[in-house]
Amino acid sequence: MEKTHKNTLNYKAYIFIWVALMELTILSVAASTVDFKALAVGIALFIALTKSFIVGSYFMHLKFDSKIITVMVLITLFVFLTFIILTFVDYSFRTSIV
Amino acid sequence: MEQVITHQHPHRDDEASKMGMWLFLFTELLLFGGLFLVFSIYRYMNQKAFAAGGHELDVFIGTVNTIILITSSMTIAVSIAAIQQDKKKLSISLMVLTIFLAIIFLINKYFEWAHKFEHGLAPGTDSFLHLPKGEALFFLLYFFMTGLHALHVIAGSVFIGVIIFKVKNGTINSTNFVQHENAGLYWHLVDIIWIFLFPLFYLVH
Amino acid sequence: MSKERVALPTRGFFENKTKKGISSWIFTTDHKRIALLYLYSIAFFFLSAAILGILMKIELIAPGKTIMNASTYNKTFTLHGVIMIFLFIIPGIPAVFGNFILPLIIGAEDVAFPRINLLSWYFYVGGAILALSTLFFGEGTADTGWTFYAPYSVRTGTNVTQAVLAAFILGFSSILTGLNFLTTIHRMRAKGMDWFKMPLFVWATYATAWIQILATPVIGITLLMIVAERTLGIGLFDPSLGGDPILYQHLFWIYSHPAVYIMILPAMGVISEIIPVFTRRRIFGYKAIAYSSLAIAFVGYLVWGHHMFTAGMSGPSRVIFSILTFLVSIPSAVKIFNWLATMYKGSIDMQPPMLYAMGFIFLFMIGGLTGLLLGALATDTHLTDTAFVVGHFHYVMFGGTGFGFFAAMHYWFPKIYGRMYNIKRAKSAFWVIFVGFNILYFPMLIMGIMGLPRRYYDYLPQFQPLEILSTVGSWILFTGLIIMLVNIIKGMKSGLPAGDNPWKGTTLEWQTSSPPILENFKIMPEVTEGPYEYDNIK
Repeated sequence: MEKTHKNTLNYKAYIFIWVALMELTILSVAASTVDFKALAVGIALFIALTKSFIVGSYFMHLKFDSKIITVMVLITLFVFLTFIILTFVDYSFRTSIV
Repeated sequence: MEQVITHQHPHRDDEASKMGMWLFLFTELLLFGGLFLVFSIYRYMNQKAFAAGGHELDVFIGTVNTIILITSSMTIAVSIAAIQQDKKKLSISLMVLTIFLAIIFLINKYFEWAHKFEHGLAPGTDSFLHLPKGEALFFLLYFFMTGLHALHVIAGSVFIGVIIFKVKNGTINSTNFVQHENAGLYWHLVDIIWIFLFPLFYLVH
Repeated sequence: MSKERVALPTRGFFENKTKKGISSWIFTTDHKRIALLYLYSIAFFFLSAAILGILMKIELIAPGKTIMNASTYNKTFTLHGVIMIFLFIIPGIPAVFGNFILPLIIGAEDVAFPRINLLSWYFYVGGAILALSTLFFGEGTADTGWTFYAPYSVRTGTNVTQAVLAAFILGFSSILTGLNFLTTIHRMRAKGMDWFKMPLFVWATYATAWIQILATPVIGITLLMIVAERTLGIGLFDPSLGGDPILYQHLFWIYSHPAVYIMILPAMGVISEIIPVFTRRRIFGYKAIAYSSLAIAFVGYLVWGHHMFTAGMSGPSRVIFSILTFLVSIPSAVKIFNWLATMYKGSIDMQPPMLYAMGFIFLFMIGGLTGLLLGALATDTHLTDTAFVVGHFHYVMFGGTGFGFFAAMHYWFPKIYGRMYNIKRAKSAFWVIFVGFNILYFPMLIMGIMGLPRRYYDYLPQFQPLEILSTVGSWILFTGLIIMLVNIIKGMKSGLPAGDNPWKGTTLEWQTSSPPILENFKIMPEVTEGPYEYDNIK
């Protein structure tokens, strides 16, 4: 009955992750000064997703906890994605918005 | 050691309380998810107005607040690692630092909002009604989403405050720290939501 | 009726050595007592809303004003809907029977978070009080219908804000229940009970819990937006600021359509428990039924647009939502066929729970088949917002979930109270309810096709004969409900001791005493075989 699990990361690793997140923040701000036109949202969201992936796997320990929680996270994200897609199915075919 | 703990807490199941916390985080995620859905639909309908609205926001304050929140996420994570190694004092001071950063975040937010209000961007006022149509939506969403996020920052700080108290009196210690982890999880979620709010409102023009 | 009251061999969890009186109930963390707290509050609200329904039907007995004016009628159907949806069918089976039976049926001593369980009941009561408080302030209770559609819900002077906040709090209660059950099912199953040895009620509860957790927050935030628009001027759905009222409908139905499966899935779980017991056969297609619960939960997220076919959605999206809607009928039909196959060549024993289960199948099928007409674009355009819709969802919700609730009540009653109700009277109550139900709702289907709009307090004279029939049906139905209620209350107080396993069930809840002891089991059970092996029980 292993109830307490071991410390999965040492302090240094957390600092390293913090630096990575800082760099991504700066990258995201820097990218906003360049005019990527339609791609801008995609780039910003991609960086944000990468950042939350890092926060999720390391700060939130998804990488070290039981896999069932990761599966649950994926179910949640998938359901949220269907909400977005199906709502956009309506709006992208609306004739009044061009 | 393990045996004794199991005996003292016949009902204790750390995995279960963590799972419960995660399930609660999912509800928070979808609470904001609904707002992100509204944001993306309205942005799609009013792209120019939303870009114009984004220009009105101060990228500098936004970036500072992002750095503050990410740092606070790191401090709470390290404080959990510290309690696991029985470093009570270090853990407590890191949590105090987390709350301190949260307060700075909120102060920045306050000045930002006050600045917007001075410029006649308060919802419900006359000058607000004269904004270009989509821009009004942008600022409504801005106030609603960052406001709700700020409430979560406050709730998270209170949660961490309770953990500080419990670490002090020894309820949370190197063998029983799942509540501390749960507070951390909540705080990271607040961080993740900001990670998305920041580029969508401040950066994408 | 001067039968001697026979003492029970054990009072089980009703006996409390440490706390006495009311505080042993309202501060309890025992899942069984919380379930009963829910049962009594839910029964109270069900009866109040049923009376509102009776009043509406009396109003409709003749064209023009009969007993109430138009605005009172609007408020009445709103309150009827809000109470029935948020205070009866959504919490109904999970909060009462999920709470009582789920830990027993998986061989656990309680749910994973007993204190949160109690908290969810307090949220329920708080939300209920807030919802009812709308009656007594300002312009009275909301007149928007239970859907709170913008922009009317933002403009009306009635107490929409309180009603909406009440729904928000009730949503919280529902989320906490779901979170608790999901964790319980993951972590607390008896030794040896792997996923495919779980009784089907557990599968249904599991799927329901996922919907409660993932869909409820969306309506939470939507309702908060309505509150923000009413109180702070955050007009997110206000067309004069560029907002789109149809987006409100999207957000509302993103929750409220999956919520339909929060209502029906637990009832289906109950039916899957009852049918094998009263046919003495192993359930046919165990895995198919288990998976179909998950499938319904998932497909349920994809079909919300069919509530908005005539609201102004774009053409292609209507076609897509219509196609997706038809998909839901597949897992539902899988369940029905498997239940019928279980009954085939079984030794069917027509006890009251079985009667209600078969009533469920019959009425749910009418509800499901009329649903197909509403899922198809062409027919829906004609039938939208007619009495046909009202008939359809009462067949599904009342004929389905309501009858499922009554079935569960009659099935687990002896386990909960240790006594048996009068079986003969329970059967006659069923038939009165069943006949009254059909006389009440079937005319609605016909009138809807003839073009009678819903939510009107007035109608053209040619509808009167059917309206009278329908109103008479409501009286018969209500009489049946009273007979059932009296029978159950009498059984509670002075029914004969039922024994631990009156129906000879094989699932774990029948292996402990009736009523169960505080700790549920003297020795924690272990599971070695599937849940429906009747060969071992004679």
